[in-house]
Amino acid sequence: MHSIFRSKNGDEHQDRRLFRLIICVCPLLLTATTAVYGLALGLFTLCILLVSSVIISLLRGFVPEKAHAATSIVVYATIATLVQMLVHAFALKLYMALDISLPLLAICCVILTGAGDYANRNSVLPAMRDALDEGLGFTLVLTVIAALREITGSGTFFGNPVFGSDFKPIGIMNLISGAFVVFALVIAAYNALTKEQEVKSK
Amino acid sequence: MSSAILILLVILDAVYVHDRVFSKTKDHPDSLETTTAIGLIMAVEMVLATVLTWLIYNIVLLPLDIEFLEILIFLLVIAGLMYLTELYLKKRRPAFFTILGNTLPLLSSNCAVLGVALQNITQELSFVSSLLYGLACSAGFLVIMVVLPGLFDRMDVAPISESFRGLPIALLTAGIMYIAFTGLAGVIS
Repeated sequence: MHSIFRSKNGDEHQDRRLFRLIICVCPLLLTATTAVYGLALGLFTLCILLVSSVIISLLRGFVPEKAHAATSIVVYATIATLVQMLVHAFALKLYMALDISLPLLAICCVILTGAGDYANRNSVLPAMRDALDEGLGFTLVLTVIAALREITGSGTFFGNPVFGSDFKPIGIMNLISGAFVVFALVIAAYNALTKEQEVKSK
Repeated sequence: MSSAILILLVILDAVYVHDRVFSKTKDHPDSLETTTAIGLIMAVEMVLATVLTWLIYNIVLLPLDIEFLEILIFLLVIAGLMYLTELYLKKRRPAFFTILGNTLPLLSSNCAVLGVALQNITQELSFVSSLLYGLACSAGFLVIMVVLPGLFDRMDVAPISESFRGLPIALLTAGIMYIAFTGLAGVIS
């Protein structure tokens, strides 16, 4: 039995990042049925990651090493709560649509960064760059999958119809199973493409 | 909708825990026993977390009008519980501890546990119902933990195309499992 989450070059650090990304994306896919929702979730995550990484990085001198993980969790939860309240106040429709995904963002950020592992060991600027890195990748993955789901599940792209009027939407794409199928196909396609490149370069 | 969320989170967590544990212990002889044990640990954790968060929310947060702190408090409660579990295992079950090793801290930030706790609150369930909810979710978790090793063993020898090996096929499995388990969701209503 070997690990499911194993990248091709077998790099341990790379593996962990990939694994974290996937474990965080999946629960959010539940509400990311359209490209807009996917993009919104991704950007919220990016915001939380950026702001928290600065705070955690600034705090690292004052907090004993043993309490680093705990303080990071508190910071992420606080910023996530703030984001949730802001969305509730200014975008009620989005708030209703995203539902349970918004509180889950807190836990996603904790997992994505390994409880602020990087920010706890580095100064502000590198920590911010790392957060930006992580957040942008996350946003990209979420948006692509959500967009593919929107196109197949309701025949639109960012709300604009893509196909003619006789298009029949694939209902299952709006369920989470559809999200898993799309996700699996995306990864498989990526695997196939990179493999082709490898063969060519040889 | 809400039960759907939990089913999803539970399946994901089971896949996650399973992978973390078994990628480290190659050819573990009694894998079923180990997964059952880990499933049990997580199940107990889930029930405890449900009870604690419900009590904290309804006794402390609600009367003081500080419900907005729920994410923060719940996360800390879950992390704390996991830390206690870790201490217990280290002392009483060192063999397990070596298998689980440093995956435990990661498990503390566990989506399913938080999901159960939050659902109990948003649906304004009574104490008994939320306890039942927690029990049902942990039972589901246990079932999936027991089913997974068999599925993954089959996948290891199945003629799966190269690009689909590993993660993609695991995701497809999760999708199909999800459909199967939503079929059960209406049995007791």
